[in-house]
Amino acid sequence: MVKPAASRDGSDPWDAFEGEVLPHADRLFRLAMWFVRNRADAEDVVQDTMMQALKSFHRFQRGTNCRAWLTTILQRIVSNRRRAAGRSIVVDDPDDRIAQTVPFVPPVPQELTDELVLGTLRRLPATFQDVILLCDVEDLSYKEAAEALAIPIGTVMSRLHRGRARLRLELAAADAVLVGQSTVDGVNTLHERIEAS
Amino acid sequence: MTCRDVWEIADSFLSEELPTETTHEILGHLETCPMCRMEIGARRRLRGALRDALGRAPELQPSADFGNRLREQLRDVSLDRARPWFLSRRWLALAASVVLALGVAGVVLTKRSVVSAEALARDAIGDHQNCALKYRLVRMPVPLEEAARQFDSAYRHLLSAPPDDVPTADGPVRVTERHSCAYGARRFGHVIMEYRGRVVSLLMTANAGRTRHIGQDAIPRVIGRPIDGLSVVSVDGTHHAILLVSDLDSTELTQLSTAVSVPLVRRLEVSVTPERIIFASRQFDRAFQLLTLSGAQYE
Repeated sequence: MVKPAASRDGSDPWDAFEGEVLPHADRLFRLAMWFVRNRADAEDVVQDTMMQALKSFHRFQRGTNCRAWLTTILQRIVSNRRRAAGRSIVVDDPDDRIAQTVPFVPPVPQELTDELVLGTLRRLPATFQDVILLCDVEDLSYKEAAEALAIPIGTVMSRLHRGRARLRLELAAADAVLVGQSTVDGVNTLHERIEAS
Repeated sequence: MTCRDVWEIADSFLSEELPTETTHEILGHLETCPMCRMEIGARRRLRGALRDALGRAPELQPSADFGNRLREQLRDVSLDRARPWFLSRRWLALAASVVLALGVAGVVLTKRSVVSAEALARDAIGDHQNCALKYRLVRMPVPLEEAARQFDSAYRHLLSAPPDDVPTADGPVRVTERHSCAYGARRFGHVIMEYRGRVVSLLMTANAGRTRHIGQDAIPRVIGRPIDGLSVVSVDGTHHAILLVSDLDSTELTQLSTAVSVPLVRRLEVSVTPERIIFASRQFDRAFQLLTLSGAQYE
């Protein structure tokens, strides 16, 4: 049974907001920072998100996923800013129309340093980064991620599938270069597979 | 279920997005297949590494004071705004009837909402920091002409007051920028000035709750406590407060306020004709009477 977060039960709405929403500020900042890549802009994005959340808090329902709700607001603000800055992400990804299979799944490297993981994630197309971030890092369900990104749930699933596969291929390629196990040909082969997938 | 099937849906399995039956099938398969167990373990490890890396990356962490700044700002907005969920249907009906009946008088009522001097000082300091010092506003500043049309016609006075150069005994005050900006829920007319190498903000805003009657002296007074070394000196007008914010000490800021804020307050009062005051006063009294009557009817 869900009930409005700011119910008329006499509880202080600010207390409810402070307890429910504010603890997510740091995670939201990290997400914003990943998307906009600039500290001042990320702070503005989180500030806008929180202002919007405060304004709409009476519509938030307790018992639902607050982080998903905030992520949806944040994602829309980021999209609006990208549009305003003329940096709109192409949503009509031609790959979405082609069901692809991943014939080769390389092993996950034994040592996964932060630098390796973040660098590899950064190299993926933004559409793949978005779904991986929301589903695998922020733990949003496919449905919640679809709402946050304003795309069909099937698109979330296909992007995740291909995004994760690309991530593993890129990780394997980067790891091979780092540890120097592979010959140049070997690395090239991996890169060819990345390009093909 | 084959190994290929498991690998195809392994990520959905980890995300707990599969139907219960399929989940049980996978669990059954994993009991007997070490290769698939290893694969599932590798994917789980990769997810963990992603979360850890993003959670630890120094460049993605908020600054130490960000949480507090954000909390303070949201708290102020929360206090300043009447939240819709406080209102019962009865009061919504009452508010709707009052709005319909009173129109212009409602504006007079709104301007009289009480906000503490402490909150006003915090907003002024926040705006000075975000706009004049760091240029990190949530909403873009708007030209004064446009702000005068949209928000408050008094902002028009700031187009020419204070003048671009104001001589004082301790050196000239030079205006570098004029616009309107907002901090949280509060809008300001903002004149950025330079005085003895310091940045000083002159902020005009609706004088909520500290009305001074025409004829009384306009006296600069320090309001709130200094925050981050920034002080606020306010001069109350009949409908507006003129605030100066700077890292000058409060004595110097008070002297500067006498030179630039007091003349501005007097200029604002000259523009308020006695007829307008009497009209506004009558509208307010009428509004109050109707509000009382409406309230009695709904009780």
